[in-house]
Amino acid sequence: MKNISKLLSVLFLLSANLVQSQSLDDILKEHFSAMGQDKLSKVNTQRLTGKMIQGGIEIPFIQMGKRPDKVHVEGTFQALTFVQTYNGKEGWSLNPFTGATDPQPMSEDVLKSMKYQSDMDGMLWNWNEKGYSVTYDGKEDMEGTSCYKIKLVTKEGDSFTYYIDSDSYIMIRSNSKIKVMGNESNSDQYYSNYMQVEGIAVPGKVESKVNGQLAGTIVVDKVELNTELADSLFDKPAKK
Amino acid sequence: MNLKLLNISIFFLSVTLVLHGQITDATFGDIEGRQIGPARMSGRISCIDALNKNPNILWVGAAGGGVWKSINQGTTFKSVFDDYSQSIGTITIDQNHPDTVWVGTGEVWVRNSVSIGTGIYRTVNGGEKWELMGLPKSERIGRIIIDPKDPSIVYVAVMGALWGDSEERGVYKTTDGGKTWNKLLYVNPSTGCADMAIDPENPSLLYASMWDFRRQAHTFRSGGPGSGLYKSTDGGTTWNKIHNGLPAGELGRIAVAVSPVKPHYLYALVESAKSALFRSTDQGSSWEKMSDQTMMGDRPFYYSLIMPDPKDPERIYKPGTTLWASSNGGKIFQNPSVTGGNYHSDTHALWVSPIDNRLIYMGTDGGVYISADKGNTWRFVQSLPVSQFYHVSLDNNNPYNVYGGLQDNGSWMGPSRKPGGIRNSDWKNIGYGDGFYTYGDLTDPDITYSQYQGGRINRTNQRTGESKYLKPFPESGTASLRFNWNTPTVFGKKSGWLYVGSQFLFRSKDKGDSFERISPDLTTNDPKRQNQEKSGGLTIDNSTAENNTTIFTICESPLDENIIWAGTDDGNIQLTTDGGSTWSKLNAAIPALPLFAFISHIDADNTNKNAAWVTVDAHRNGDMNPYVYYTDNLGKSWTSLVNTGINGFCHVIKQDPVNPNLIFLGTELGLYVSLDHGKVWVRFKNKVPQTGIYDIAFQPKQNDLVLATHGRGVIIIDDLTPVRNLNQSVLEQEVAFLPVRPYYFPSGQGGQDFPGDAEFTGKNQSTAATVCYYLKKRHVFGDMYINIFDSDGKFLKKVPAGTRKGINVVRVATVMDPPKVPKSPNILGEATFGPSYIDGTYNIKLVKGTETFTTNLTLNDAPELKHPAEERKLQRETLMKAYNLLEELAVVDHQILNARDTLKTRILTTKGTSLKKMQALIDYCEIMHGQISATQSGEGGITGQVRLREDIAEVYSAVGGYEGNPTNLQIKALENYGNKVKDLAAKIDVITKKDIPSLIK
Repeated sequence: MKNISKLLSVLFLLSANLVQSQSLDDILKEHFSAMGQDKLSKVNTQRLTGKMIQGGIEIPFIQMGKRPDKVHVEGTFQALTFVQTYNGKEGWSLNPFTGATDPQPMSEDVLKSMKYQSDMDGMLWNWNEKGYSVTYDGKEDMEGTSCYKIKLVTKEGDSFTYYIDSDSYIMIRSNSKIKVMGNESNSDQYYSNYMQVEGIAVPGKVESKVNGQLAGTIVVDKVELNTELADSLFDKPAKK
Repeated sequence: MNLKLLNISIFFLSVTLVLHGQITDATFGDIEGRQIGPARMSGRISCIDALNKNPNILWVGAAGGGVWKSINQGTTFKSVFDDYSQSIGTITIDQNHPDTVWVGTGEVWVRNSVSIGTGIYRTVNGGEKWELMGLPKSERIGRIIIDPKDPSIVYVAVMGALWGDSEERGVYKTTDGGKTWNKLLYVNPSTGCADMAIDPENPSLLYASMWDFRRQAHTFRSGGPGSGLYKSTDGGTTWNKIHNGLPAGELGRIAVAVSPVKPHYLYALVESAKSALFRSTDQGSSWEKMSDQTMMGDRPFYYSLIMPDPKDPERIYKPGTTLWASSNGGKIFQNPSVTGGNYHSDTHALWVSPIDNRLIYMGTDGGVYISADKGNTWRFVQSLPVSQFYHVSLDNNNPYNVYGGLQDNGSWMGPSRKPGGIRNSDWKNIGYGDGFYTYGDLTDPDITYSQYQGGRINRTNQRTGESKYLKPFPESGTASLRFNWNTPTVFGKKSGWLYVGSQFLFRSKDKGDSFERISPDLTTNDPKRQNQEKSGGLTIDNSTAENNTTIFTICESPLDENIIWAGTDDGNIQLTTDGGSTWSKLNAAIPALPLFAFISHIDADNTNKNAAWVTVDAHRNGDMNPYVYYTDNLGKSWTSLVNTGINGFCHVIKQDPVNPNLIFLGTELGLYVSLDHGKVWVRFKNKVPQTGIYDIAFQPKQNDLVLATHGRGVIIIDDLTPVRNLNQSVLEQEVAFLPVRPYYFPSGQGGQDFPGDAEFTGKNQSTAATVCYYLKKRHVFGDMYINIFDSDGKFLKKVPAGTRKGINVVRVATVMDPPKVPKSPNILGEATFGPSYIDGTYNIKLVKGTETFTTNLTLNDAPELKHPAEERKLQRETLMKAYNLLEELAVVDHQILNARDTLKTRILTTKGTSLKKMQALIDYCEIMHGQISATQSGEGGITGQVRLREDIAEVYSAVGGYEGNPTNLQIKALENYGNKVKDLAAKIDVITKKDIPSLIK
């Protein structure tokens, strides 16, 4: 009898897991379909132009990405250009707003974030192969919109919670908790103004909030896919 | 009923349903509470737990302010429990799995104003997410013990209901991590489990104290036949009383604790006819009296905690009105504060570090204190805004001040905004005791009024510090006066006269210098409810907190000073329409009015003098239901406004002074709003936690709503204008603009102060102009933005639009683009912002996909900053001159650098005399650029280079910062700099038009 109840409880656990993974898979499948993941997977480079708005200051920016894991971001203000590059292994930032003229190497924490950011498919795509753990955290009302909550945790212990609109399966918010210098940095991104670019859904506006307060907004004006981007763009920037 | 009528009814039914369906908590969107604290005096702390291995991680439970977590030994705290009852009974960390924390809601320090809990909760991820694990009717939980060897086994001491009988109390146990619970020890419906302890070495060995107690509005009883101390040796399955050596006769509340270092040492702090501390050295088989010093009997309903030191078996702590410590196993207690001790009295929570027993965390009526020297000196934690207000009022200053009285923390005033945020030091103490009604005199800025326990009222001149005591006294032939703990002290909405209620209503037309009695006894005058001198049970406690048969709420009609409504704490609603000559008791006409309940608030209607809004609070009779009534015929008939949307017993109701259909209701579990005159209620959740909303005030100039919360301080909801304009027509539209209050440019103020991170600072409202609209649905797909045009239709800028469901409040930076400036390796800080737009009306076009919606945005100069028109004109002209000059200089510099670069390219293929000339020109360009911009990089240092662009930017910034006349030298400097720019422009013109063409052919 004892063995039977043990067996039943194992079966119950298995089925519970099955239900959960089924839901997770279903949600992700719909989400990837809504976002145009099949098209995105065929994209080799992307170049976004727009502006970053912070405290009333607007800074035009360019963000470039190239597979497998390269990133280049630059923003210009008062004819000074801030540059961040990441070539998949190393990264640098050149911040003339602080008077710097030499590119500075990125710390391990920043490299880690750049690594996350460089994933052109998004971290949820093939999460298993990437070594992340992902769970479906239930449905939640997010500012009046019903959302699926998907939580992703990296091996480093950083966690990302994605809020996927249960109607459209489009991502409308993500929360990230990333360890920086041994402490946790917590921020939220809210995505809207989605545009279709060659069958891929791209948010035209991203609001960043820290502790619920608006920290900055990114507006994307133009998205170019598969343009020629030299590898050197992602290497150490030149001294200014 | 004929078919036609049926159809009509169905039509109305469906219309009503549509109306109901459209308003949710998401409707309010960006309209949210601004929690301004204060943390200056903090508030009552009910429990503390910390991680034994790492005391930097501590969790604090507040009496009415929720759960707060710190990971840095109290430097900063984060509120992690906002979505649940804010009354916390106990917090227990699973010491072996520190991210698992159990919270029992419902404070167990059962004073008259104690709140209620809603069950036991657990987080497994450090407070990120909570799950209700059961015991929803427990009302208060005093102890949670996790089996140190098996975390799925958890014991809970459920104290249970305070104001009535309840079955859900006693000792509960789960063996499956909270999925199911068994009640293991239960005595009777009036006896709950007050405390519990476990033997850390033998977790089957448990001790539990049962407490027979009851509070009513007019009395309190501690002790009864149900009280006793029990032991179980089988994990709670069977229990036996262990009274061998304890006093015979009736017992009261008992605190029990096992020494963590000598588990066979057991301590029991026993309330009895002569309360004392007992110790057992044989696991409870027998007890020895250790101390019956006076402090052992110190208000057991409020302090019943005994805490053996985790390292030193002879050191014992006993929190009470002050903290006491014994160094000889409990024989003699003395104050551990030898050279310090300046902490708030009334200590309820204590945690002593097992790795360093010099480190102690203590929770009091006034926040958390930390000692690093065994309780000798204490550091106040300044970051816990859990202040417990009873009332709030406002003045008309700009910025306006907030006034209020707090539980055991007197009366305070503080600003609604302050440059850099509202700091603890911005709050000023203006009254003492337990503070209640507090006001600033609206005609004399030096005068404040503060009421404290039982009708004591001071009128204070804040300039001189002199106070006049205004409490009414009985005249000859009049009965003794009975005042509520929280005595209504109210200014007439129409007359401005001061009203004070005992059992009689008093009125003063001269700010309290003289009073006239204008009512008979308006209460039941029931002698059974007037035995406060016997209140307390085994330990008499008569602090006026149990005063009853008194007036509790007073409201003069804002339309007629002769119409005065009064409600009593024993259930009477009374009305006079002739200024107090005659009174009518209105109870009989009120449907299902609970007997002997507090009439907690009456709000006379703002537009109909026959109408009034009433809340009734029956929780002291054990009835936690909301009661809300409305009359529009001077109380001849009443309508109940309660529907399923309201949760928690009711403290206050107020009609919006602008929109009569907009009604605000404060309950023990949050703020509720009705847009339709009280028919449908929805909880306002945006940064207003489920804390007791005790009072509500409106600021007429700012259109703000200000809440007095009993646990989360003051919460301001800035600018109600959009909410006031929400109506059915708006809710039906996909996009609808909503008005906002008039916008005034802010004055630029800054400061230089680095207080560190350990102090809570109340945030200011944004000073940006706002565009507000309602969105029926969240905008996800397609572009959405706002274009701003000036009054001539000239396009100014494009800004991002809000896209959330409900009300969007979009903050718009009403400044031009910053000036373009000459190139330099350094940022030009003084020119990072463009000039502000001028006052006037601007056109707003909200573009959503293919649709465009248009409205206006009006910007006004702040009246207090308004300079004469001719000064504004000169300032603007000078500012724009500087702005344009910077841009001109940028163009000149660009031409110079272009010329230089052209020459540098050509020189590579040039020989002979042309080469020399080119080189000279290149050098000349460099010199000119060097005159325009700082060229030296500030890499790691301060170059201090000031060139023409830095000079002009300094004047630009200076002129922009003051909207009156610039100084004469600022104007002259611009002329001077302008000439230099012209000179440089002429020189580069010659180079580009003459010199270079002559060299490059």
